[in-house]
Amino acid sequence: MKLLLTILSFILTGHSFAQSTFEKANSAYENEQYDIAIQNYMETLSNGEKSADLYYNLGNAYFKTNELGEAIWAYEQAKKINPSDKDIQFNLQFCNDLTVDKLTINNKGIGNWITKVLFSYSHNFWFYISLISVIVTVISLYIFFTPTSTTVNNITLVLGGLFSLILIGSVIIGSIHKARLTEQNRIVIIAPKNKILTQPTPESATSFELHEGATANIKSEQDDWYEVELNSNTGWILKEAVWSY
Amino acid sequence: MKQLYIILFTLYLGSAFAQTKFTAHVNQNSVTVNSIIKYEISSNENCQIYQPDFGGLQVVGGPFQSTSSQFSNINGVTTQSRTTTYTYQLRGQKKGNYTISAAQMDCNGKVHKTESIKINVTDSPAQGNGQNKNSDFYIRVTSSKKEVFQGEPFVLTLKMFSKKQPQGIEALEEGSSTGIIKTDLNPNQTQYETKTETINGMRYYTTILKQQLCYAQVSNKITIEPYYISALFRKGFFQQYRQETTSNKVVVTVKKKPGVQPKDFNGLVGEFDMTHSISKTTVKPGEAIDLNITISGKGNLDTFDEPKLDLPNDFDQFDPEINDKISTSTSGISGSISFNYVLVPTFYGDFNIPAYTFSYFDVNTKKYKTLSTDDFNIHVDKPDNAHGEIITQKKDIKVEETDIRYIHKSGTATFKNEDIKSASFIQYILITLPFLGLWLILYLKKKRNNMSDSDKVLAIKKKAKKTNAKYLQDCKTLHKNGKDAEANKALSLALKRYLKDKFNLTESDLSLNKISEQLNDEELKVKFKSCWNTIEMYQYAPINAEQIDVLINNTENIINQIDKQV
Repeated sequence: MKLLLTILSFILTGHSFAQSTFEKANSAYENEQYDIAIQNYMETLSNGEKSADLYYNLGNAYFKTNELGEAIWAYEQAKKINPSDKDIQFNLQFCNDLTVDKLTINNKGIGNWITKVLFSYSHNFWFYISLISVIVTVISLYIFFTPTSTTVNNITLVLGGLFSLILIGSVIIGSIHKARLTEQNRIVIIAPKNKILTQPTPESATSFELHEGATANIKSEQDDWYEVELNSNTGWILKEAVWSY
Repeated sequence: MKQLYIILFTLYLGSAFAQTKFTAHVNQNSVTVNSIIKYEISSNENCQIYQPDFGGLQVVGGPFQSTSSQFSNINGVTTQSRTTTYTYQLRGQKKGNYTISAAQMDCNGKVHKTESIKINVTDSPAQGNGQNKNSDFYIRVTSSKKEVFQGEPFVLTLKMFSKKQPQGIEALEEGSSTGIIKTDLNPNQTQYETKTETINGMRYYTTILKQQLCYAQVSNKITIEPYYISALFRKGFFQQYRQETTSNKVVVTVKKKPGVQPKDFNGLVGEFDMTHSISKTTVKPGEAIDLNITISGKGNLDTFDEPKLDLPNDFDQFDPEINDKISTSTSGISGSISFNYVLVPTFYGDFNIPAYTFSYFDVNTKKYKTLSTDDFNIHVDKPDNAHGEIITQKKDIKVEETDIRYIHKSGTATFKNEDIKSASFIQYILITLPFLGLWLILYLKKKRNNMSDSDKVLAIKKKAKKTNAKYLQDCKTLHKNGKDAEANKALSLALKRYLKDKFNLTESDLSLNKISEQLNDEELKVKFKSCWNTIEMYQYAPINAEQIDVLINNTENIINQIDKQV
């Protein structure tokens, strides 16, 4: 038991937040020095550290410097970490309204609701849930196999069954959550105006055009090109024209 | 032979008479505006005649039908020809070229056509032509003012002069004019008063046919085109004849108003006054206030727009009740117009309704003048009832978000991708380990339950020293506390318990002989016997601390030795 606690406490101590850099960036933002703010936010991000607030503030700074594509990228990143934050949703919607291309963005529906419910907690929430379920399940099983009264047996059986289901669920959801936070499967257009080509070669024919701020799914990639899909159209775009998230 | 000639001639004549004549003609091709053109269609057949299209010329009169018959007697044969004539009176109201299309006649399926006729209508003749043309019958249009300001009234009078007494007016057409509003002073006049006047030594019957009050709407020269009338006169005792004429043109100059036009100028020209009244200035919410604004005077009052009051938001406003007492005469429009507003405050407090002002152009002084009401200050009492006496609709809060929301000042802790423990090795270990542990515990438990009796005995034997160590410990504690007699008893118990477990003996078997049999070593046997006996002896004899100390040590040694040997 002591050993378990030690392990838990080791896990619980996350990386310390680069608080000073964050505050520096915020005060730069307050003084309307948006370039400095962006620099400071990006410094933290380049260390591999991230948070919803960090991306959100970065998005604001980008927006203030008229970098619509970058702002949308940052808000999308923030939304990935905290899909239920109202400010993030509002600013992202605000920016999407300013883009040229009309995209079918689904902000409602059961899928979106499930995303909000499952992935709004901290990055290790489902990990802790799985640990708690393991402990409860094991204790229940132990009591179940130790001869006692039938009532206790029934209770522990139900408890053990329930928590083993929660355990399986939390492991699956946790791995999905991890994929959501670490994998990049969408792009946002950064360059002002882009031709989406039918083949990953500069000479090929134009399939359609996209403007800054448009977002699309990545289908595949090849060398310097992404194959993107949006509104059920596909085409190839140079990696340098987009930021992935 | 002669007879034959006659027959032939008759036949010829017959065919000559049978020839259809169908013609159309006008009395003049080129006329001035509003001059009358006579258009005649003649035919010698009694057939259906279709009226032509006059191509935009106005039909003033007609068709008047006339019939003439001609009898002829040639060689004793009497023939009759009958000619029917239809006469139209036409006139062009605007200058230009007009075409009267061909008239058609349908005689039992046989269609006859006339030729189409072109008419050229030229500009009106110079002013005064009307008089010169027919000096015994003419009409004149006069304006009361030659120069007016925009919005200033003037009167147009149409007067007829004739040497003979007119019997009636058959037609009266107004000349067209743009940029003025005309109002007939006697709109439904049917009786005309005829006077006699002497002009240039000649006696004329004069009749005022029309009086119109006019307002200029544009600041420019206004031309009033000639008027047209057709009058009837008596000829002889029973006959009447018709005479037509057009009047002169009238030009009125509209002057620009001097000075700078104020912003609140509303087009009124004349002399005006404004009065106002308010029923009360201290009210409760929901109570109505009557506000009256009355404008009176002379001028184009009928064009006055409803005053726009700048009311506070907490006032309900209704459309005003408008009362106008306006009369029109040759001197212009005069009277008053009043606006009654009903104002209902919906909230308490002090409110200000700014004064209503407007500017008009004073014709007498030829300057702009501004009229103004007072400011209205209204005090609305706080209702006695805490909930208010009136129910008003809840006002929506208008939200217009025109910018992104502000940054988050306090950030939650950051994390790295490596920090995510889900789907990691450590998670799988931490999940698997407890299950492994559980399995192990359950396995061992099960194993123990399945042991045979001899195995169990063996296990008890093996653990004999360990399980009974606490009795020896009790003994030592008692000894320390100086309770030596009790310590001895405890020592006896400790030894017996140990031996019982070690050699799997029952309570009754715990005797010196029985135990000695189990010991193989002779030396140990001796030691054990002496120890046993000593303990037994001290059960009944007093014992001191030193003795018990030695005894405990001995016993301990013996237990250790037995444990080793067996």
